[in-house]
Amino acid sequence: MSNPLEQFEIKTFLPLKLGGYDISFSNSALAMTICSLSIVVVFALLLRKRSVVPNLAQSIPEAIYEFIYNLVKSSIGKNGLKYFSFIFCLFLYIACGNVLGLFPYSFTFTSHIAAVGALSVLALLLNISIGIYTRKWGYLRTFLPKGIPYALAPLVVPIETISLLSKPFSLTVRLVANMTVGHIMLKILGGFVVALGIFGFVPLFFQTLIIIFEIFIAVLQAFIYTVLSCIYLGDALRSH
Amino acid sequence: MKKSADINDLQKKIDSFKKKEKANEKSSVSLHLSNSNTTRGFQLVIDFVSGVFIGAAIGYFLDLLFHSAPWILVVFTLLGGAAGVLNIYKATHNQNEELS
Repeated sequence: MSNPLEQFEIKTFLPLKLGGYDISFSNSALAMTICSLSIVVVFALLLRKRSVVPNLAQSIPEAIYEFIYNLVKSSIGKNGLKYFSFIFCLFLYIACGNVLGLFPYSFTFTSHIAAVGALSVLALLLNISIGIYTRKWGYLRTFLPKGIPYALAPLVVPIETISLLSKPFSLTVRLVANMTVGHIMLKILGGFVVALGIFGFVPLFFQTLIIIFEIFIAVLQAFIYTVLSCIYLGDALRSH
Repeated sequence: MKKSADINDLQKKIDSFKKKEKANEKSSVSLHLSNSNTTRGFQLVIDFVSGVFIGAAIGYFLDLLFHSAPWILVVFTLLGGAAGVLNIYKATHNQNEELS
């Protein structure tokens, strides 16, 4: 049986170095490029014929758009709509990355802590900058919520700081763990199909079910990631 | 007479539409809660563990910086535990707000 962890190995296609840093073009980078390009191409194709009364092709992107629009509006509020484009891109990128990773011979870049972690840290930095930009000094209230006596500040400030810094970590681990577990399970069951010979149809049946479930999980995890990013952004915009 | 009846009809239509809109808004929010309890529990565990982990990591690197091992690590791991509980509180608090 082949190694179920082999699918997560990074293979370098084009070795590149910049100032001592390894910026090689790997299979992960290729998967991200394909993901971004496919989003643009699919959306451009679906929105080719634009009309006031949408046809089926046009209504799919519109439904996704409205879904995320309502999500941003309900979890951040009207003033959060300025950041709608960021949230929309985040959702599409992760959902597309998760789903494309399910195709045979493709690579799931969302199963790597480095890739998702970088995205989460970027989202955190953006949250902090937006918080400081909109609330100025009031943003410091995040670390010492109203109603807490100043005597408790030495205890509360580190706790709130750790809580803030742990957000990208929990976001990352949630998505990465789900993606990794699903892919390992699929690979192991796939190995059973071959190993069991004529009785291979039993694991094949389960694998079919799990693939359907994984497609659902792929979109659901992208959705959860987006919802939590929205909630964190809302926290940065509002005082407690 | 007929005109006022028309306007009343229109008002009724507007009211029913507004009611529908409100119901839709509520259902879109409740989507956040459509996950199963197991998923929810798993998420809360990650929230807690990430607090402890990040606290310990900060403590470890501060110890390296100040050559004071293991004191800052111990203190920050405890603070991380508190931050983990705070994370869980915030996550469930958001949920309760959505429910009410």
